[in-house]
Amino acid sequence: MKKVLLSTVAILAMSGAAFAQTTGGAGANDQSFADAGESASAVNTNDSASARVNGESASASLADFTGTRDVTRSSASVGDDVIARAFGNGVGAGDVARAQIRPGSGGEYNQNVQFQVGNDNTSINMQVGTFQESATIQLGDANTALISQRRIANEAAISQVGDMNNTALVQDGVDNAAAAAAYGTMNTSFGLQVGGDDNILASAQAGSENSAVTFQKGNDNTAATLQEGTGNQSFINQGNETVNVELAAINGDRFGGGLPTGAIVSGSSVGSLGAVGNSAASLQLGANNRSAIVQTGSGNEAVNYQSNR
Amino acid sequence: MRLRPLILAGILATFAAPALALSCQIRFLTEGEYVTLEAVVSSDSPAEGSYVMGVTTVTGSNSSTSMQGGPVVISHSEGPILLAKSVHRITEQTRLTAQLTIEADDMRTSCKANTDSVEDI
Repeated sequence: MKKVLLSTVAILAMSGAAFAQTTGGAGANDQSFADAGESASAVNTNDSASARVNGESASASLADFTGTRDVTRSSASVGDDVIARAFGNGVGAGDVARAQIRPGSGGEYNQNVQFQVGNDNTSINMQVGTFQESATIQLGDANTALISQRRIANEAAISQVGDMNNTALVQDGVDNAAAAAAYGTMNTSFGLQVGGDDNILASAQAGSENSAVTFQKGNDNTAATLQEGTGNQSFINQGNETVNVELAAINGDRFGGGLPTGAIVSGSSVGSLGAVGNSAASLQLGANNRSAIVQTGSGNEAVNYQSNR
Repeated sequence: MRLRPLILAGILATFAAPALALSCQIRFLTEGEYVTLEAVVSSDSPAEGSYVMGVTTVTGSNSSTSMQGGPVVISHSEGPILLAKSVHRITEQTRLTAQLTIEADDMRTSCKANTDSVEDI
């Protein structure tokens, strides 16, 4: 069902075909664009950013159109026959938020939508089963959102606008997809997918001093992280349990993290098992950013893109 | 919008360890502002072990690290075997450092590549 298209990056490169491209310009309408294969892309137009992983389709995007109208927004969506989508346009008058879950043709499944406006909110959703959907929107500061799902083909999306927000997406099973988007400063995004293969996770953050940590265990997983701004940190770990990870949920809470801040990974041997066929892409636009990708196993591919635009 | 066309540099630079029963190689393939690094192993006899390839890039105030590692299984004399790939954006200011280490049976081989600029690739 899912096709890991990030792997086409290197294959196309070897064949000499154009696999990646950039555009650039000067002034308020600066635009940079990176496209790695068909599946990982990043678009930056002033304060907008998006990350997308196709195939089973998990995407996260956010945008600030302050140049044309006073709107900030963030959205995250996940879909594969079924769609979980969260969208928020910012805090203040004229708040618009929309959370959408559309079940597919497969029958009746569990669905959850949560919408919170204000500060210091906490949202927790736990689902066990298959083809479940969960979408959470939080507008404000110091909010925390957790979605924890187990088993097969679950989808989760979290969208946050504000500062010092925390996102945790925890999926235990196979063929799961998750997306997180955040607009603001000092936000954290944590994604953990364990228990099997074919998982997808996309994370996008626009602002400064944000951090994103993604752990995936299993084969044929795909992760894409995009950060736009300064002082951001990104860490993607696929198949390696040795570089810090903590977690639980449903619901022993406990999240975790690992690396960046100096980001040094070293060693002469990294596990003996590892994982196969994973793809990871980290894209950072701005200054003073740190990125680390760790993959163990064989047939894994990593893309690191940094641009001090 | 200004589109910068991609030009396939067609440069295939290799940094190989001395010829041993077990040998490693880091292949570089540049295209536009991207470089693909491939970790490659060759052996003239069966071997089992592990590999680690670490790549760091520093461009201005940004830095990135990627580490890829895992098992190496060579069932008979063969090569080269592709172990891992990583793709990095590089500019004229980028300093890239790569190291591939392979340990198999009682053998150990290592390849290193340091570039002060994209011109070195």
